[in-house]
Amino acid sequence: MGRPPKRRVRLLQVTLVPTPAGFAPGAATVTYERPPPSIRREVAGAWQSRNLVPRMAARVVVKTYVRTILGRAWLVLRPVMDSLGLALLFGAVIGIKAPGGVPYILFLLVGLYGWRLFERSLFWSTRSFDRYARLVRKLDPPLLLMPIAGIGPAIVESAVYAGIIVGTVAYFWVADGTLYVVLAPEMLLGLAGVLLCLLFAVGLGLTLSVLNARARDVRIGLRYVLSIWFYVTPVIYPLSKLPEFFQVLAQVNPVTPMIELVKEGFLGIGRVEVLGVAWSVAATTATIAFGLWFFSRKAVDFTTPLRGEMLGDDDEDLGL
Amino acid sequence: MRLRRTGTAAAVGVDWTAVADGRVWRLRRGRHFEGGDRAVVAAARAAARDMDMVVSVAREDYGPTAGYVWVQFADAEVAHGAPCPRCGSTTLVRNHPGFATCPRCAARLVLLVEDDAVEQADDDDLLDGAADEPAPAPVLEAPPVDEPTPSPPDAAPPVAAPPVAAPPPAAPAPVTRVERQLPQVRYDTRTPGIDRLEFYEQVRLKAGAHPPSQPAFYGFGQGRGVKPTFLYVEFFPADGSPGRGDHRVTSVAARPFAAAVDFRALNDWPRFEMRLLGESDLGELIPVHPYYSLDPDTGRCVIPVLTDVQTIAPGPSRAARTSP
Repeated sequence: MGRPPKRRVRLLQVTLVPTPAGFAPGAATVTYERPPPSIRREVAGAWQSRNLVPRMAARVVVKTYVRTILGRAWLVLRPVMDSLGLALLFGAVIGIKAPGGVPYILFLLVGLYGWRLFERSLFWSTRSFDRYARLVRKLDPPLLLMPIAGIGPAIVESAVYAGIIVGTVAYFWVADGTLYVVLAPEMLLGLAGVLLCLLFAVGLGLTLSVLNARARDVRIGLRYVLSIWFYVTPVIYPLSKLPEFFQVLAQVNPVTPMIELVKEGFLGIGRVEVLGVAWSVAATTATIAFGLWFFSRKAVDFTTPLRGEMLGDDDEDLGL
Repeated sequence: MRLRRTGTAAAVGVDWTAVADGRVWRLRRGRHFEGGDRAVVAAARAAARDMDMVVSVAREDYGPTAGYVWVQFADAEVAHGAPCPRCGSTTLVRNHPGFATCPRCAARLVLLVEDDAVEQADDDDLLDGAADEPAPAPVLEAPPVDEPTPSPPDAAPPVAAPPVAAPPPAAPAPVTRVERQLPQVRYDTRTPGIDRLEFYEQVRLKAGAHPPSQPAFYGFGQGRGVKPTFLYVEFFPADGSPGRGDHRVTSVAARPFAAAVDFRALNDWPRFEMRLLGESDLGELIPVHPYYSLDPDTGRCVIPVLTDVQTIAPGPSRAARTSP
């Protein structure tokens, strides 16, 4: 004899949540105030949530290569193909020679290491509010984290370049018996150059990211500006190959002394001038200071439409 | 601060008290939670309720590559234009379209702006790709034949079973504290029809001018996958038990009238909170009215609505199983 059927009941509890005390719709007048712009508050908020920076950076990296077949292999493939293509064109076809007997591929790789760090950092930083649009729409993280965490892919890419450089140096060490890298305290100059490239990009990114949130023209135009900037910076050619007048002119470009620092620090073939480095440091400092000032005053206003409404997501545009 | 993992690997192993500090936290699949991220979203919301807080969630699912759930807890939720629910301050500092801070009591508030209902609906689909896909259009289909819509056997006016719109897959109902105490109760996961309150989110209702014997409410809600909808809800006795009722919703899509309706004003209306109860919880409610009961846990009046009755065919008895 079977057991009697069991009734399973599903209930929905509808709870009337009382309105706040003293509030009648349409009666109360609530004032929304905007906090006064403050660099200190922006920096303090970002510092409080600094644990998010690597996580948000990793998100961009993951997001960039999602829905690809090769996946994270692109992290290595892109720098390899980029440097091989440039080496083939400027080294083998055009025949540019590196100073000091350094193989051109190594000269190019070290120059690209500094330049790509600057260029990609600036590019990703500028696009940071695009990339985090969904996140900042639903949540309220410190806005200053966006252009900072946005450079994650650039950091990863430069790390790959560093790995390629190490591999190339090892190859020439074995093949030629020559160690082209300077293993001396001068290497700190190279690290200083790398750091300056990064800081300068972040400083510019603070301003451009906010402007890009207002108008995407910034992002579109930046590609072409960076293309021109690449060729006027002595990355693929040594500074000494330029005519004297253009050498002086090239020093006006704040990135030139940075790249020369990197070349001097790692390969001992850069042309470092005190005035040029001082100009780079001053430009970087001024850029960061202005970026913070501009960001603290305009970021909230310029990104409010982005956070309040859904703009088209640009997942498909990987900015490659 | 590192998140502390608790519980078993299959469970949502997040110490919610550690992340309920107002900052944004990222939870990663495989580290902080296992399986689908909808479960962790539901757990976050349940934890927020338990802590008398609210939580904003952003989900990102990159398939097998990665899955993230970003959470940010706030002290309370407040309609746009309403004062701080904690201290009543009528001045709020607003730095984000959806968030504000009370300068008096420092409460972090989630602002319910006019499109909040819509946003809340796609909150669970805040992921790349999924959110880009247009919401599937409601498809009219008849109730499945093999799963007839059950109704209370003693319900006075049986609820008509019109064709129901099949909404997109929705997040499972949050696991409430009450539900966790009911290990054996399983809920029917069939999609409710558009004539049921369960179909809607962000429900805001006001009592209509009806006699107490037949309460009715009007307002609006967010139908799953569709735009805001005007609702008219009638309650009636479910099975004769005092303090328990059933309901029927008449809905009209608000879109054609969007220009004529001040949705901001509608957002100021009180919000209904809906949660599922198991049958054993009926005893915890105190009937105070033919349709209303008192929830002693919260001190609020509730309408326990009988939404589904499922008769489970008993399995063979042990004697029957062991006999040849």
